[in-house]
Amino acid sequence: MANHAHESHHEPHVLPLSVYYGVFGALLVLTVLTYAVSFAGLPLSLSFGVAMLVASCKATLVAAVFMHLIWDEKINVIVLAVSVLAMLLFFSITLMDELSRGLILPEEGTLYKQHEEAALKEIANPPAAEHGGGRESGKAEHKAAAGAAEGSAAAHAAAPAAHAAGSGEGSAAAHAAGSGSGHH
Amino acid sequence: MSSATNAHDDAHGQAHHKFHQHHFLTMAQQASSAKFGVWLFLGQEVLFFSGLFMAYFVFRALYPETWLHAAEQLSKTMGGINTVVLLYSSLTMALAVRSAQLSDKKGLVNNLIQTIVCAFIFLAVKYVEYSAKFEHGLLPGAAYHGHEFIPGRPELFFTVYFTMTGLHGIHVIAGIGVLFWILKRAIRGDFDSTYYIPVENVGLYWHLVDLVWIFLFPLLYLVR
Repeated sequence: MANHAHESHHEPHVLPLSVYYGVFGALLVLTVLTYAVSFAGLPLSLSFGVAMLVASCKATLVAAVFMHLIWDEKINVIVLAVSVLAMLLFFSITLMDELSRGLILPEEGTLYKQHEEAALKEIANPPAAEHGGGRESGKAEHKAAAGAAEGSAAAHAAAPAAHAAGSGEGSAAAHAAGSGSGHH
Repeated sequence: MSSATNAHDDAHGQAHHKFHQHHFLTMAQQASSAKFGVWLFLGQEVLFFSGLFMAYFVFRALYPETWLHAAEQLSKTMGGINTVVLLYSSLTMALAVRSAQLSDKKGLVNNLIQTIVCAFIFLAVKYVEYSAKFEHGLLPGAAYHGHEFIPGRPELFFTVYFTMTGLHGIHVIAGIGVLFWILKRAIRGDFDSTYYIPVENVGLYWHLVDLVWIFLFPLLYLVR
């Protein structure tokens, strides 16, 4: 349909005035909403989420109607979509690094270090009760545990649940836990 | 040169248009190529600003308390007024393109002037805001000497604030420049329903300036 108009004699695609005023009205309402929400005293993460959601709605309205993307050649939509995707990729990977740094830097007394130490203790101690063995076997166990610590694969395997919980609940929560433990 | 090519018809048998450039087959191709180029530029703008937004998110994650308190030093009302001013200028810009599509020169000129006036109002409000920040020593980096206690690293918040709004402001100033260029051409009578791609492209740029502000406003002014 649009193609046909294009070929015969690129007639401009003129929208009725009501569309422009309608979008402007919606943008004003959304602005008042985001302004009001900022005074509502919501929890910080929620109010941040609402603000970003409202801003994204406003941006979509402007791009779709004022910038004519709905009726435009799809290649222009692709250009915008790709750059927004690249931006989100950039954000997520950088924030993943930033927010998880506390988990893996050993000198910061971190979750990772705690998990590793807990795993080491588990490897070193409980079997001692079962074996109830002499000093020589105890030494051997200690050596084995140290070896496992260096490999750190065992430490990882020993605390998968804790790791999963950390990453599952969102990196912010993990970060909070990490910095909290640092103060102890 | 133009008289020599006047008789030359394009692929669709239409008479040669005054603004038809020779390296394009048709006016439609010329328009869609120009618009595609502008969209590539806008894609680059998104990525360009994303670096600044990234800096904002990283510093906010590191110093959440600073962000909470430093943002209270900004005037939500002034930011809100500027948001409405930019939204209205986006409306008049879109209406300017519509007027050009309808070969309505008077409407085109009228809407372009309104857009330019809004851009100046935006800068004037920004000037008032910046002056207040300068007065209170709420400046970026080492220049920071605010008297009110803000926990953490307030100078980082104001570094981010001035960099982001400053670069956005430079975009507004550049926008005023291209809007004046379009206004001059509109008054000269260059644009009608067969040729208005420069109006449309300047409009796209202006809407992007608005888009950036749509995110800057809640992030900087409405932290709580």
